[in-house]
Amino acid sequence: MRRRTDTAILLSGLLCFCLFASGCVSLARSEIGSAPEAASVAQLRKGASFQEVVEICGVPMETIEQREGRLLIYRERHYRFRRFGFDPGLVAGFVDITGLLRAAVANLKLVLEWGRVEERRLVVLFDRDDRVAAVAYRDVEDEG
Amino acid sequence: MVRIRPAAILLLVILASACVSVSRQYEGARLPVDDISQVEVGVTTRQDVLDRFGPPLIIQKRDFEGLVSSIGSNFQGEELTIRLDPKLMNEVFIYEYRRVNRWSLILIVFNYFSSVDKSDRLMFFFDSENALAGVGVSEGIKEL
Repeated sequence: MRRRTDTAILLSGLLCFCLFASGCVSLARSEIGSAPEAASVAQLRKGASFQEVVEICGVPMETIEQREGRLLIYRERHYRFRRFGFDPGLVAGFVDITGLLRAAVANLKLVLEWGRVEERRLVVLFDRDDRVAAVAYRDVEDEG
Repeated sequence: MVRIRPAAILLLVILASACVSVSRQYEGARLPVDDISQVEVGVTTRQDVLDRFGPPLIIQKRDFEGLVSSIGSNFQGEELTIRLDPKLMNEVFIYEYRRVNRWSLILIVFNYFSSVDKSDRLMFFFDSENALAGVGVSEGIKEL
């Protein structure tokens, strides 16, 4: 008799834990594009030719032809996303066939989300003679 | 002898049931990167590149209509003569082979999504006499 009671308590405790601690955790990551790393960018010198830049940094994601000269843009984007959803109704739906429990806790929900986009970006501006006039670089760890 | 209780089995089934999705997206044709060694700056012509590599994904050239209309809109007078620098005629051919690797794991309480988008890119730039002025290669798919 006592053993049955213990089992019932154990199952009830497990059910309570599932109901109140149930959550939905989602993680997502996405990476798009390619941009050179800081070590490669350090090799770029003012006055370098277009060919030298392409050899060091590879093919840009975007090229803009301006009156002042060509502009090469390299971009690599990292996206991180985390979501935690606290939703007891989710588990209640599995254990309660009457639907009463699920209806009772239906309004009890908490969702926490974090998203972060980091970008490595290089812009190289050439003069009209196709020589490097200016370089701007930002790495993924750089703030601001 | 260990007896597995139905409630434990149910809990295990709920927690362990999963949906895994793996997808690969390919865009464009594989690039004949090895053929790059057969092109020569100053010798290979635009037609040679078209014959060897086929039609490019993008042909970049300066926007003449926009340039002329912007000059014309600011001009006040009867006659306007525009001299164009031959360098403005330079074209850039871009070839791209893109691949996106995605996979996801969907459990009852935990989900994970991943997407990585990379591409191989070839870039040829020509001078005003249609001779090859430079070439660049980026093999981003190796990073996948």
